[in-house]
Amino acid sequence: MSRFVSPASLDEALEAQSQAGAQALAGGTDLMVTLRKARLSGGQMPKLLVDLSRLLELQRLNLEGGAPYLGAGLTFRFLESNPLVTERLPLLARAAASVGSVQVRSTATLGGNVANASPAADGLTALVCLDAVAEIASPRGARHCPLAELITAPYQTTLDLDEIILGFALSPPPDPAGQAFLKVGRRGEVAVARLNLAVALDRDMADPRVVLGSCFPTPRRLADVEGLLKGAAPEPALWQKAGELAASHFTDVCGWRSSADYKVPAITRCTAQALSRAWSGLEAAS
Amino acid sequence: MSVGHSMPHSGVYARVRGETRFGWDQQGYGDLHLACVRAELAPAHIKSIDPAPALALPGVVRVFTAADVPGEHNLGIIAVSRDQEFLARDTVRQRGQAVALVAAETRAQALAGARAVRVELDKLPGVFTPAEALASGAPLVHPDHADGNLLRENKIKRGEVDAALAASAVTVEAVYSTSPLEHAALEPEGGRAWWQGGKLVVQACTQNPHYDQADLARFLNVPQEKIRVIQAETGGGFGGKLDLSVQPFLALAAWHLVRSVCMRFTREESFLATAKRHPLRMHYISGADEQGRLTALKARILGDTGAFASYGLAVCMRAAVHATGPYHVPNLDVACRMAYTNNGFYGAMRGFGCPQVALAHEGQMDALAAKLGLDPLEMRKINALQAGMRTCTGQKLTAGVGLMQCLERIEPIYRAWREEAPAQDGLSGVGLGAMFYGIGNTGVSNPSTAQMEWGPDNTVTLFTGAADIGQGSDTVLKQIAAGRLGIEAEQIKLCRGDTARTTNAGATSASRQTYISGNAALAAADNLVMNLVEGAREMLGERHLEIELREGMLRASDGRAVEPGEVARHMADQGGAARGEGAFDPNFSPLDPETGQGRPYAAYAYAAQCAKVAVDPASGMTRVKEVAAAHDVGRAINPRAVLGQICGGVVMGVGMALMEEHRPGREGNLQQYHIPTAADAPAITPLIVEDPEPTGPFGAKGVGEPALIPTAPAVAAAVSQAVGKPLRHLPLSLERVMEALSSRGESHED
Amino acid sequence: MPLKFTVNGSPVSLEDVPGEATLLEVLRERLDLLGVKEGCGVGECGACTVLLDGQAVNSCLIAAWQAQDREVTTVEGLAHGRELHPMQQAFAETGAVQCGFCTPGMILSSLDLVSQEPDPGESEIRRALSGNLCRCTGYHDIVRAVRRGAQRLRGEGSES
Repeated sequence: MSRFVSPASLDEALEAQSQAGAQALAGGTDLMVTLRKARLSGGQMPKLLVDLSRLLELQRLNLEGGAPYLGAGLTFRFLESNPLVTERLPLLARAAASVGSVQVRSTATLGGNVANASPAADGLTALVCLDAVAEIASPRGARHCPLAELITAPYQTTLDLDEIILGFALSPPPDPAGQAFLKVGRRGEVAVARLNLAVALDRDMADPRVVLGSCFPTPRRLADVEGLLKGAAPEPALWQKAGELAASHFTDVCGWRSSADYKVPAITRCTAQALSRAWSGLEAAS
Repeated sequence: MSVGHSMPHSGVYARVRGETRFGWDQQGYGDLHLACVRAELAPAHIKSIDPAPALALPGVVRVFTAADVPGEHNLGIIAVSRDQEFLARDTVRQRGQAVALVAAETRAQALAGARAVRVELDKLPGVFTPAEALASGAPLVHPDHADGNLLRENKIKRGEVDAALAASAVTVEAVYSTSPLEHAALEPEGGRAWWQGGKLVVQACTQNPHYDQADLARFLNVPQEKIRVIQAETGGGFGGKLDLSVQPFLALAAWHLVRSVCMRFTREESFLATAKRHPLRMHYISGADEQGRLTALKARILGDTGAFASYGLAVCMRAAVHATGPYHVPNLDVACRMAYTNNGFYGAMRGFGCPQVALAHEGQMDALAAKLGLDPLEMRKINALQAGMRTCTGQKLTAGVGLMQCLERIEPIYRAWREEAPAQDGLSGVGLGAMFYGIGNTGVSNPSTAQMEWGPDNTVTLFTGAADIGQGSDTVLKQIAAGRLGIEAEQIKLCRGDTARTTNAGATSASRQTYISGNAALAAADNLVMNLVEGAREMLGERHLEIELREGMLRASDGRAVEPGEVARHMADQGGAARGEGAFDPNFSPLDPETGQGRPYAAYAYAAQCAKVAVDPASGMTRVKEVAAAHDVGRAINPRAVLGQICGGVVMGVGMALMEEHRPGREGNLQQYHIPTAADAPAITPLIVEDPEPTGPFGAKGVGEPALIPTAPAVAAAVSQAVGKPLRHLPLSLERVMEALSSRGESHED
Repeated sequence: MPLKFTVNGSPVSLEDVPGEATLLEVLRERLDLLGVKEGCGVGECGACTVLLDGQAVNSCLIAAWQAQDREVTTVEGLAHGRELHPMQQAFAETGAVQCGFCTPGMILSSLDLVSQEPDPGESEIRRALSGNLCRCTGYHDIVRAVRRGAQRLRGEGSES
């Protein structure tokens, strides 16, 4: 049987979180499934559940200043509909809207999505594309950690047991940028991503971003594809070439396993489609 | 309101208030909770079961094993193939089969107890595909079964197939396959048992309370009267609640412990331990002449029936009998075989094999039409069954054959969709599906009975054993009875699904309740009127008076009128009651075992649907945008309920076409097994065709299963058109669609 | 410390609620609110949907303690005595209910939607209800019911 605490301040939360057997609960939509499984199979319960959902420190939102920042406690429901997010970070808003169902999005948070570190996490793919750096608190103070370093393998992070993610500092591509988020699932809504993609292009093609999720142990930026795009003339042939390069990157990393029969053509075409959408979005905006 | 009116479903107000108590909600104060110990591997020999560690836990009251079963171990709905042990004796035949049952004070304690029971299993060699199962020397799933691992072969033979194929202008040979499917009724299985008035009462979700009673009596080795089964409100079934689920466990524990007990399956347990839809592999060779008339069909169908027979015999026979689809085919050689394997058992699911064979017969129609350069709809019209023709079993159809009308109803929609400009959101395609479906069980007696009573206080009660599982039989039966009595359906009270108060109506399956139990209700109403008239004559002291029941009054030819309630009071005073009895059994003849010829059903439903899809060429994601569905239901007793059945069936068909696939032995919940959401469901145009069935109540037949059957073939045809290649294996997963997209333009034969 | 929250307008206070207990368990087993259904236990089917401070959530994915000091609405809290909530009335009249197991959750998700968007279109309704599975109706009449219910809540009469 677990105890449950709802700390009212970050300090209280950090203190609770440093107790042995403490488990942070952000929205709970992944954790409660894990706990149910453990209960049905006679597994161990955490000694203490630490509810992070009431911490104002995790609810920060700053998209208007020079240093864009999203609190870890913001829910996907908030992110999909907040006008600032939909305007400034459309790819994140789209990713947020594609997470689970309304009911899940009402409680699931950006920070929880990152800490759970599913290779198919839609929020994570979007954050990687925005070059997010996690701000992490612990009794030892704060640290900052790029997502690529935070998440090491599926469902594995470098978070210490007593650490709490506060939020994410973002470095979006320079304005104006065209953005796209694309998700492929086994059904139209409420599906785990078989493949997800976040792309962002600026007008000068100076800082193109291409992130592929649900294909690798963790979502990752495709540096070689970005290299191809950088400074290149935006045109359909380029998108197609980028798609092919993305697919060959996938087979280089993952080998030709059975899923490649689907994923290679899908990555090729979806990457091209996402790039084309991002670019036409940029053109439409200007 | 009575026949032809869309009165709301009986019980709908309690449902919107959340007051309805389903099987899963059954729990009383002080109930013990039950949980199964399930085998994690199969097949296996049970070496030992040690309950001691469980009994040492707090709250655990008792652990049952097969040794505690007082009666028959082998249960099952079809008497000649009862082979399912609810507590395995020596051998575990499928993963998830129960080997022990724990009773404890709380659910958590029961689950903990079930985990603690120590079970030692020795793994045995098994068979996991029909091909493996039928290979010589294969390990036998049921060593006592006479035909090895072959459950049954059904054959249909007419004319000279080989000669007819050789003489055909065109022939098409192709293999089709479908996947195991889960019913995924929203309510998982649950119920409760207790002792009352010297009887053991079991109240659980079910589609067939009287069968449950009979099999539980055999299980406990007691007379049937000792067991009372009450159908709890049932949150959907689709065939999944025809086999016993929680009932044997509830009955066994309550019997031994003489305490009230409750049990509910988790969703995972429901996936693991209940029936699935049979996957079929269908090898078809079809021929047609130059005008497009079908000449011959040679079909070899092989299915997996899993570890227990369940409804395997019924599915096998139905698949064979419907293998041609709703078309006239003069020469036939169809053989359908079902093999036992050690996979989780397959049973009844909406359509009993017909949704599977529809993929094949419709795929063949499209392929033949393509070879002949004919329009697919024209091809179907050329071959559509009509009154005066014979079905593949030689049964001459006389009336109520509404297929042509169904095709004509969808034709304008189909033509309009075909002529639409290509969709902006991907590759588009339009496809057709048609079907016929025999109402009721195949080539066997399957009667229903009902009673009616007119009370002294003018309450009218209909007694029926027919389980309403959400489809609306309560409402429809009331409407039929009210229609005959000339009163408002709202005036009729229903007593339903309680073996102590109602008689056998047979299963809620095979789309049979409107037609068969409807006819029984009609007969009960007629009998009630006859008895009321007799009572009125006696009361009025005139034995030869002409009396009829009209506008709620018994009106005599001499101008006098009496309230039926008054007559009922008079009859009660004489020690009687104003009651009516009714029964109905469809007119059938059994099928010849060698040729499959005979009269398997008294009535058939017909339907035609068309589907419009969009396929994203980048990802292979497919969306069914619209479906038009025309169904000949004979007569729509409750049009809104009929439309509801059609729309529900269509969306289940979309799931079957695009996303549903159960992997035997794998962990299952709705995370892994996707069914369509509201966003995946197409816009549906449901169309009711009424070609009255002369033997149906007010001309009605059934619609529950027909609604599903044409959808998957129509979707498959539409996707095939969109990607430019015939797709013959379901579901049309991302992988299969992508593969087709990548190999477009290659050979059209596979 | 007792767990305190408001259910259907009434305050409740419960002792000995374990931290891992779901809101669903507490509503069904401690408060006997059996209109809250469990269809999967893992947040996929939406049968256990309740409103938490007005927002639809899966009560199987919420720890009961997350509801501390908050307002929970279940289907039992919608009608005023004999008078149904307009959305319940619309579901009952429109053929939106067959087996009825998904109905309580479906109605609550619909109410969340219309509180955000009083006049939702067909695709908005379908997307908003995609976390509530129904296996009986094909959603056709559910979508019609939500439109009708929304119309009544806007005070626009009942014809549709």
